[in-house]
Amino acid sequence: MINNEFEIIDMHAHLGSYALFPFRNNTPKKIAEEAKSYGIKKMCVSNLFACTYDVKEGNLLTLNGVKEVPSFFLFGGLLDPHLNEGEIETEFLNIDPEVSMWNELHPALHKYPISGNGYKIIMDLIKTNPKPVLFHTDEGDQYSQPEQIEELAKLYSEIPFIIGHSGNIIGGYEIAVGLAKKYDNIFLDSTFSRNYLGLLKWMIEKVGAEKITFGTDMPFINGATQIGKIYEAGITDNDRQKIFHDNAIKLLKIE
Amino acid sequence: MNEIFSEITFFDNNAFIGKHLNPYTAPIFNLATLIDTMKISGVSKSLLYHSASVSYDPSYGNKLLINETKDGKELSLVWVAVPEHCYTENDTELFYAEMKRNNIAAIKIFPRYHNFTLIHGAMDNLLTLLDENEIPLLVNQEEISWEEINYLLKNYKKIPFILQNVAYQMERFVVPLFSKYNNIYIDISRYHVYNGVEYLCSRFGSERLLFGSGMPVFSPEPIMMMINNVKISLREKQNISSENLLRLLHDK
Repeated sequence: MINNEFEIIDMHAHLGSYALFPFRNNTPKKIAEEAKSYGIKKMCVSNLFACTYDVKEGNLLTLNGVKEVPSFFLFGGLLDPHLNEGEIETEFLNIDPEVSMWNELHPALHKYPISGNGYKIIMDLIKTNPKPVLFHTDEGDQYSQPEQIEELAKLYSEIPFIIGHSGNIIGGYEIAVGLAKKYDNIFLDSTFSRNYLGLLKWMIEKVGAEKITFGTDMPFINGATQIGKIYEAGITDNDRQKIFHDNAIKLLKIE
Repeated sequence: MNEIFSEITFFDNNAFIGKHLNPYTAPIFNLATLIDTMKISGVSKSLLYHSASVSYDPSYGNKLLINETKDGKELSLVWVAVPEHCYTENDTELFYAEMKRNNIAAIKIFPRYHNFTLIHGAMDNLLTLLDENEIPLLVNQEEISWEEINYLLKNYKKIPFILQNVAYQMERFVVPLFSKYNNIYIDISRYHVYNGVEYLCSRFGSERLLFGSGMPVFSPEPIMMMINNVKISLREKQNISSENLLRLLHDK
């Protein structure tokens, strides 16, 4: 087992199912049990139903899942930029008191660009009670290119933005790193599924470990794999402490 | 050796040396760099080919591999083969004799990159010899169609066929192939799906999964950490991390 001395806070995980391949042992309790076995102390989750089918029902499923293991899960809220302004506001007001962060706003699955007006409506609401916003990004996808976050980061400097998957592909990582270096309120996410040798070390050299948050992306990905990349050679324990724990504590304002 | 992984020995089925396209590490990953990375991460042994065999010329790259690994003790060598190595039975016998002379442990093919298909018999002469001698054949998932895999497994039942770089989303392809054929194995360097290894072990046993790093493109630690932590027995972890590959290579 992992000889892990770090308390881990997972800022990017999910509940629910996914059409493209089967999730196994994906009940909230099983996911929590698995994550705890790796040394994860808190996990922010959203149900994929909110990304793939219906955001209101999905948020409700998330909330029900969180209640199954309330000492462990944090509620990741979703909002759908396709809805009209009134519907978005109603859903925001409905869930905001329970939300720890906005995770994972999903322009790729919602097929709506980060640069679209719907996300400005959403950010206008979030800025009234700023909490971290994690956007799914993928440089290869027209809706979720990381560079589209720049305008939002400038307009909403009070909101911390996390570039989910850090751009996801070679080329995207470079753009994400450039943005995290340029803006105090932009952070990188360690949840990339291609574990390029040296990538995380390169990111730390470019932006510092204090600008990188940790996520497992469970139940897509095996959580130990995501932890393993933080143990790659050349990454210090001080860096690990920040990525696994300290950055999340600051962003989520939790103890 | 990295103390995190001290209970298990890791034999990497998926590594290469030479130039590569990973911009986050040394642009030429030579043997010394590979061995340093193996030592730091705790990988004991590697099965590797030379990237010049893919991007430039298979025969030239295969020679480079021999020349550049003379000092490597913890290595098993892989040659890249293409149809002209086995157009005739004579070509094939010459190629096979060279393989044996150089102690080559396995063959890797790149049908898409090297512009051929298996279905029309382009590699049959060599595949017959590999089959007779139970020498592993390696192919990256993205380099071969599922029809070619079926052709291969249907016609050559003794070749240990190792499908490498299998992506984490691919269970719906892997399970039917495992159900239908006994001589297919998968490299799990990219099969880091949640509960995926546990599920395949529960259905098919642990004997058909192989640890791989994907170095120098990918990092070994994530998959090592996964194997160390999956909810299977220590015996099964040892199978996946090294024993299965040792068995397929006849302990070479």
